[in-house]
Amino acid sequence: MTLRQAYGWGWVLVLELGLLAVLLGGELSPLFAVSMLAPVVVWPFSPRALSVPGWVGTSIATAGLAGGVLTVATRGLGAILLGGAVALVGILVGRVLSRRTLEHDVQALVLSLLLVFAGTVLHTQITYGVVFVLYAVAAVWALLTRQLVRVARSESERAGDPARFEAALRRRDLISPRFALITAGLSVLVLLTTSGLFLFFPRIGFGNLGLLAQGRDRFPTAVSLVGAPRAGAGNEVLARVLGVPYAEYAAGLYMRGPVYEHMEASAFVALPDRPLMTPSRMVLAPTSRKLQYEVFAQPVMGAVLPTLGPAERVEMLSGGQANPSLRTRVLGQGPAGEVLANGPLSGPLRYGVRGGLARPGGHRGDPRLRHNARTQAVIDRFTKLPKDLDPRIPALAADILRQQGLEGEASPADKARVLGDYLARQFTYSLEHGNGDRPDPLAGFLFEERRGHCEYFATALAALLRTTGVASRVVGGLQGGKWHGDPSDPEAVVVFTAANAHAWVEWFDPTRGWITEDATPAASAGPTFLTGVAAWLESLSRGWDDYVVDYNAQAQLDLLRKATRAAGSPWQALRAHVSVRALSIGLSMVVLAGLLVAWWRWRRRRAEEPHEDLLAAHLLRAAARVSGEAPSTSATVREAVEAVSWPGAAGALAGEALRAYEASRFAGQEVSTEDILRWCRQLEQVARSQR
Amino acid sequence: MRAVLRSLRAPLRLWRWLWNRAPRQIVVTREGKILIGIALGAGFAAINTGNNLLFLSWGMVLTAIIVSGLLSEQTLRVLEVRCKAPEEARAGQPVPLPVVLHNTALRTAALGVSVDLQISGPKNPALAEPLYNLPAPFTLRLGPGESHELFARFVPAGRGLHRLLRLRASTTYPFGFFEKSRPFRPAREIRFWVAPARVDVSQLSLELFAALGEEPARRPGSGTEFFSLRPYRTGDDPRRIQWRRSAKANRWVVVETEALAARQVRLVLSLGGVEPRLAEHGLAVLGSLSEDLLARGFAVGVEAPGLLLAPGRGARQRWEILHGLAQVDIQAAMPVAPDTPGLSRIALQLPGAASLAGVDAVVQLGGGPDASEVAA
Repeated sequence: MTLRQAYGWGWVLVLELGLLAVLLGGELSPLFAVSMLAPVVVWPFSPRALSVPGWVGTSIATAGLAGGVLTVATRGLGAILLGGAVALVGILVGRVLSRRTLEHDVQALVLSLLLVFAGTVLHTQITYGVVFVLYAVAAVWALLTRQLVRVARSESERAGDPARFEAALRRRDLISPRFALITAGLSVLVLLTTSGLFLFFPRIGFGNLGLLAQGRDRFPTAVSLVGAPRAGAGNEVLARVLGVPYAEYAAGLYMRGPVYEHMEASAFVALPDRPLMTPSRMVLAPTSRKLQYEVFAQPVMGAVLPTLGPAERVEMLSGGQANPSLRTRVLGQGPAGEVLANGPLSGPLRYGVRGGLARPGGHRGDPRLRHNARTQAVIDRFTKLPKDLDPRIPALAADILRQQGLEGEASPADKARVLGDYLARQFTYSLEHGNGDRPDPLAGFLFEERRGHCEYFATALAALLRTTGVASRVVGGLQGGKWHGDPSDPEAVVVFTAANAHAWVEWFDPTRGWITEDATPAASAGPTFLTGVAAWLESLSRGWDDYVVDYNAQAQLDLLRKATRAAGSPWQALRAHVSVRALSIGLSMVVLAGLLVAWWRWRRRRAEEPHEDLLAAHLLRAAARVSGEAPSTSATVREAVEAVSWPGAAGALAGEALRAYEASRFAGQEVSTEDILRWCRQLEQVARSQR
Repeated sequence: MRAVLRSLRAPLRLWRWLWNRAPRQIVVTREGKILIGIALGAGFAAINTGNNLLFLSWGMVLTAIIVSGLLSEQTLRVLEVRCKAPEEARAGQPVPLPVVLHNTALRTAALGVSVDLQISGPKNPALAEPLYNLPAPFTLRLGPGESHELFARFVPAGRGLHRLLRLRASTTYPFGFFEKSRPFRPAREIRFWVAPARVDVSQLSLELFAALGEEPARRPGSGTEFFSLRPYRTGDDPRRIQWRRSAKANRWVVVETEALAARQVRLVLSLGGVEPRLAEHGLAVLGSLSEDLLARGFAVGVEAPGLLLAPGRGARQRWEILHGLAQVDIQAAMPVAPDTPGLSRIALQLPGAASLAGVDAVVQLGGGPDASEVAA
């Protein structure tokens, strides 16, 4: 590989990884992926490389800057980092396309580093870790080769001969296997030191600039029938729940998030500024005995802490803010029983919950509840309908009930069952949202299209229930999830990804409280397991979240305590934390690496046929070491050796080696390879003893 | 304001003194300044937010700085640098200064090493810049136990004693963010004399050669006058055989002729009452003329303020003259030269200089360095 190629590829790789550091976060529009073409287009390091006129580069950079400003202006201060990333990408592309000198390349490298910094907020998944490691290696490679290029340029400038620079760029001997080895070693050193700094630098968070992060409030404030469905195909983990028995998981899990209670023509909207209230069984009816489980959740639901059902006790364990060392408090419960934090969440959080599960069917009633004025107030509030509701909808609800013989005084439970069954059986689940283009999407769904996603089913059921006098509301959250681990493993977790986003209905029974109901046909899918590569990736992702993203001052203190203890009894500590299998694999790999190195050295020594020049080199090196100064370049080997006062027996050894060298070199006498190697070893020892 | 600046001068001088004696000196390159700026910004943000990924990225930047320091130290620690005084140096001509770099390590290579030299010129009021920062010679890789000889070149502006003030090895290895230097102090001060500049005096030397002519050399050679007879030796030209004498002696006898040699001259330069710039010019002409006359076979001696050299021939005499002229103090008195029979004393007369008595010829010199200003 020539120096030009080594530098060019390293430079391109660094820029691509810098761009990936923000693009993989998913916050930027997919259109920005086009920016990755820029470094590849101009990759060869050469003055002849493609370089667009300066004004084009300036225009692109200015456009990027304007895009960044526009992003902040339209989305608010919370999107300042996103706006910054947009501007950085624009400036980087402009710079790359109009590059002409080595200094321009350095500017591009700096911009890519800033993108990596932006990625720390915009891209917190494990893919950032992969990009980061690759970036570090590529940056070491690019900087080392850049040093060589810079030196070659300085030399050619000093000599006033541009051809020398070109010749140096064509050199192949500089980028040798040894150079690759040095780069690899340096990369390992950089990554190890980085890890050390990461682990042990005190987490002293003074403030919280997390507010500058783009809001991760990805759950909408309304269940709207206009726009994209909340369920997506994303694999990003939104929550993990530890401590749920497999049987409960197999029966179906609903992780409650925000509650949408105000009905409009084509949406259910969450009302702001609702009063807090004390937990009450009237609020939400459970379907199981009480469980103790732990939730790790990404901050995607505003201030709501998602739970699997009515929560009796919630204890915040860590996180919730951009600074993991600062802990968010639990403020209380909202009127719909949702658990609220004391402010908007801006970082992943971990909390323990004690409470029951809420899911369709099998609700436990509370015999103490009676229909009274208070429950009537709830019914009055949650049966309000929008004025412009299509009149065919109440007629449809009445018609369905009539067909099932439930006219007049049917119970809310019967109404909910019948209406839910009607939707589940007569309608088709589809992620396409063709109804959204209709003037009245709800009516379009019920009377024309008869297909839609979960938000259509939830809105339709809640609306139908309200028309029949049953109080209802729509709930957003996560549903289903994937089981990661063995069914009997107490450490197994249920993993909820973006694809598990869902909306369902809660209706009110005056004698039992709020009951969960789900009319979406796709929601009844059975349990699914994370297996194979997906399970392995999830383990990695969990480790990343637990030990990198969520690492805080407390974890740091724990680590220090463990390290202190381990220093006292290292073997026991090793046994405690590393399994025998892992230990044996590690040791085997070390032995294998040692054998490989030994084989490589043996081959190298075989390839280097020892001859008298090797002996002369050892003689000169030993002479230099003993005398403390380099022999004159004009001195012969004999002059160099005789100019030194050798200590002890080293003089006789040097004399013997010198005579053998001269006999071989000048008299053509044969000296055995073994003798040459022996003298070389002994001279090496003499040199070492002078250190 | 001026008082404040004056009060700052002493601490600055102390700082410079300490800086020059520090075991390592670090200069932050442009890229390094950018990196430090980023590190400060990222550090502030990381500590402020506690964002772990920001800590991770910040750690990488700090690591780059730490690793730069460690590896550049590793490179400099194993180096030995020695500088030799040049054998001959002329003002106005490039002087190569040999620098020997030696890697004392057994296994580690030293990478990207440059040597930084500073030479001080003589404290001469006629010189505008007595300090020379030499362009650093560079070696990309110095293997374990290897030595490289590099040459730093500089063009001295004037003659006189020059000293090596600074000898430093520097490296920007591995990333180019910092340039770390290690000063080396030679056991003995490196100093050398720079001879006066070379000027074109070819016309003048030709005229002097024509005017002074040659004299018998009192040794056999290629002249025309009879010198002696001697027995024939293998290789002698047969045309030199003296037939009559050969017949008498009954063996081959050849004729030897006497060689011709250029005359002995002593060039005299008086600098009394001459301004320094003109005096330097006079010394340059004296040195160049001496060289040319020596090349034409003359035995040349020199008389200048504080300098008296007997006539001599050859490279040794040339070196003596140039070395002597390099050391001339223009304020010194003229030496008293003994009368030598057969020696021509030729005075080089600068404008404004006092006239000299007892010389055989006077050469009037112009005021500038151009040869056209030299007139006999």
